[in-house]
Amino acid sequence: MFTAIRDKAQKWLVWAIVGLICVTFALWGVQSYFQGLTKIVVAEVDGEDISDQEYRAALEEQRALVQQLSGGKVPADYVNSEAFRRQVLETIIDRVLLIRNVSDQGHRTSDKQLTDLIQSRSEFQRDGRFDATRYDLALRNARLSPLEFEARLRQQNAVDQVQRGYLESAFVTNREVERALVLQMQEREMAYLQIKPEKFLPEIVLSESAIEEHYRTNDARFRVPEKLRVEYIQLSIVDLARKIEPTEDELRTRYENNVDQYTLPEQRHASHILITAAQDADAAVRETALEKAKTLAAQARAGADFAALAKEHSGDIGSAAQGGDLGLIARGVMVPPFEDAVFSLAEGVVSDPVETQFGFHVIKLTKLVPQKQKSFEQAREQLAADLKQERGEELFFDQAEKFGNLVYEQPNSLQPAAEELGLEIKQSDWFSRDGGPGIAATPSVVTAAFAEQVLSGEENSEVIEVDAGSYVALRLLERKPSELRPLAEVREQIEQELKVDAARKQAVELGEKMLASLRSGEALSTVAARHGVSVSATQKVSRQAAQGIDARIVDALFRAARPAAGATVYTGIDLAADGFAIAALSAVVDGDPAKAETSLVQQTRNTLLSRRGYDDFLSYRQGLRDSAEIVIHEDQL
Amino acid sequence: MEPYVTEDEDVRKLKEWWQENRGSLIFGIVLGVTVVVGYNLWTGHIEQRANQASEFFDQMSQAYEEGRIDAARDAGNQLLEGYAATPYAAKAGLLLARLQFAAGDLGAAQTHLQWVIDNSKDTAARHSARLRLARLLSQQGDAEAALGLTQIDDMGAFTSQYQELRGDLLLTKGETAAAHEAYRHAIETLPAGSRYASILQMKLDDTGEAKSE
Repeated sequence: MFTAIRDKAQKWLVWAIVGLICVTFALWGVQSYFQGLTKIVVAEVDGEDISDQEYRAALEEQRALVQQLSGGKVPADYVNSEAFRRQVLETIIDRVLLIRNVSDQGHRTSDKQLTDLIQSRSEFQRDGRFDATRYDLALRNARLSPLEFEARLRQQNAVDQVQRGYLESAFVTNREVERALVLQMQEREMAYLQIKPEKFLPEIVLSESAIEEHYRTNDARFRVPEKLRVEYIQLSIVDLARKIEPTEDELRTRYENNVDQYTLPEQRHASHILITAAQDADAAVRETALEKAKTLAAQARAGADFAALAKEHSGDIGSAAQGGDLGLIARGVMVPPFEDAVFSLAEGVVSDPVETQFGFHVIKLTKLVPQKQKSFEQAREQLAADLKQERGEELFFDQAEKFGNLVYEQPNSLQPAAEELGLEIKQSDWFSRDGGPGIAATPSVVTAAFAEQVLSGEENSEVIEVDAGSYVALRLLERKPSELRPLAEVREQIEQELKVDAARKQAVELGEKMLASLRSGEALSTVAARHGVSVSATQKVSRQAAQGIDARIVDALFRAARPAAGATVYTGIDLAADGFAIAALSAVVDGDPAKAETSLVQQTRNTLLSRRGYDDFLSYRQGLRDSAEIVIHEDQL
Repeated sequence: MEPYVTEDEDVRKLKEWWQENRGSLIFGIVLGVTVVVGYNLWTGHIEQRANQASEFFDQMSQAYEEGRIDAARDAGNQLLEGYAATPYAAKAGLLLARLQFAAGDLGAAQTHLQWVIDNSKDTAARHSARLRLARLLSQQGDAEAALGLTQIDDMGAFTSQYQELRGDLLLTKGETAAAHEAYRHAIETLPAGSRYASILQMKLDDTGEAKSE
């Protein structure tokens, strides 16, 4: 009996196991057998690792982006700060969560959509069309394989779809707009006073020890920042083009092959008679003007002298004296209906009246010089320039890859790349993380120069794309560490800071004291007079208009609770370096949506709309975060 | 089992084993292959549907951006009718609701939103639809029904929007203190990255209790 069971079990087991093995291989494939290389992990999202490598790459990318967007004005402290690093990591975590959820839900990007996406990107285009060489080059520069890049693009597209889905479908009801308008157009009746620190400045005496203490404890603020000098090589289309000397034969060949590119544009001379009629004039007035224009057109066509008619009837004073002559007309100068008419007329023909914002025009095309081929001599300069540019671009795309490889494969020197490609090694001036003159004016260059590998002096930088037609690589020449400025040099600054700070504290102290008196029922004018502070006139203030009042006071005023009828609500406002203010709110007048200007209504609606749609997306994202298990390895950041 | 066996015996045993298990083995392999092929066909089909739906979504979205409302509506209806199992159907429902709202047909807009609430597998899309439906009801003056929609246990990451709406609705009923509390809650639960705080702050400040000192 046992044997029977065992035999049956065996048979069952045999085919079940074979079946399972087939499924395993089909589903998992081979890659899972090759994992297990050690790597540093900065965070885990539901068990999925975010590698150090990915994090560093994103960090560098964000730093370069921030510098580029701000024109290099963001201080280095910020992009190196804990908060910035953290924010970059949060962005990666969000991206991981979004990509995974979007895919789980069943969002996809088809091959056709992917192709459209790639081809529509301007960075892969040349002369407005997709260029495979550019595509390859850009990917190689970013150290991405097409497979990786395309996978990323698919994921990004799916996330974009979700975001667009929320943004485009959001709507705002009239009730919501009206409520926002009631609040936005609200006015508040108030008086205020400001206690300025200057009031106390003359009485403040500083001790020597306080100055020294301040100098010691604020060490970081009295430093000259770290500075670098670098040597660099630059490969650019402009430089390459400059070196090219096209021969006479080459110019001729290009001329012959592209003769229709070298033309003198068409020229049109026109005259006109204007019968003025404002756009918002009565229909009757406009009708009369149109009739008059029609009559004039008929007269001109019947053989009357156009110039004489213009002198007598044209409302365009400037041209009327010249018989309506407007001279040469190029495209893009006149208003569209006028231009269209001029460019559709044959020589010598008089138009029907043409309507523009000035009135009705009768136009005569006095002379038409058609578009003409340039002779070789006329085109010579442009031919040479075009040829240089074209050759320069070709050379650039040929050499760009070699440039990148040489810089990367021989990290100890720029010499090999410079020799191989005939580039000059140049030296920069001193610059800090905030940038400097010359090459250091480009934020991405500065970011690359202050990257770890370069700072250590051991390696070349990565290839930096300064713009679409120029690459730079650099290495460290000299490094000047940051140093503390001597006390004598910063003494004045310190004294000023300390004095203002002490005065500010006294202002706040006095302010608090006055607030207490006011809240115990004394009148504003009485309290102010007692302390020698002047009070503003009672006035109505709205949120939008500044009215010469400090924005912080207006802000606090609108945050204050509504006063009961006949009562006053007092609010104290710390104005930091500007002292202390007290606002006395005596009445609130709600806005009337019916009186809002159309533009304000529209603007309010749009603001609500974009925020609403975006918040839906953010809430969706937040939901993913809330339900994910996230571990951040702080020590690896 | 015998510890020592001859080669002949080995062969014989193997043959016997083969005779006995041949059927099960072949059956096992056929089953395995069928499962794999079937699974691949099935996922292939699902993938293909998802790709098609994605393209319809792009058509809808692009048509909408370019102001071709009829084309947007057509693509949206295609998604609702043929691709209800994909996540794109909910997006179509939301956009169609907006188009109907803009055209003044609030009833049709409500139907679309209700469809998303009843059918979408995506929690966020359902919350979004529910909130939008409640705002429509509020616009039509039915504050009670709107409030009813906001009374759910799990508001998820949409708590802030639910609370804001509750605040607005309570205020129309004259319950200023409760509205103030709702706005406070709304500010505290804003999703990370939101720029909506200033409007909420405005509403919160405006419902604050007067300290008539």
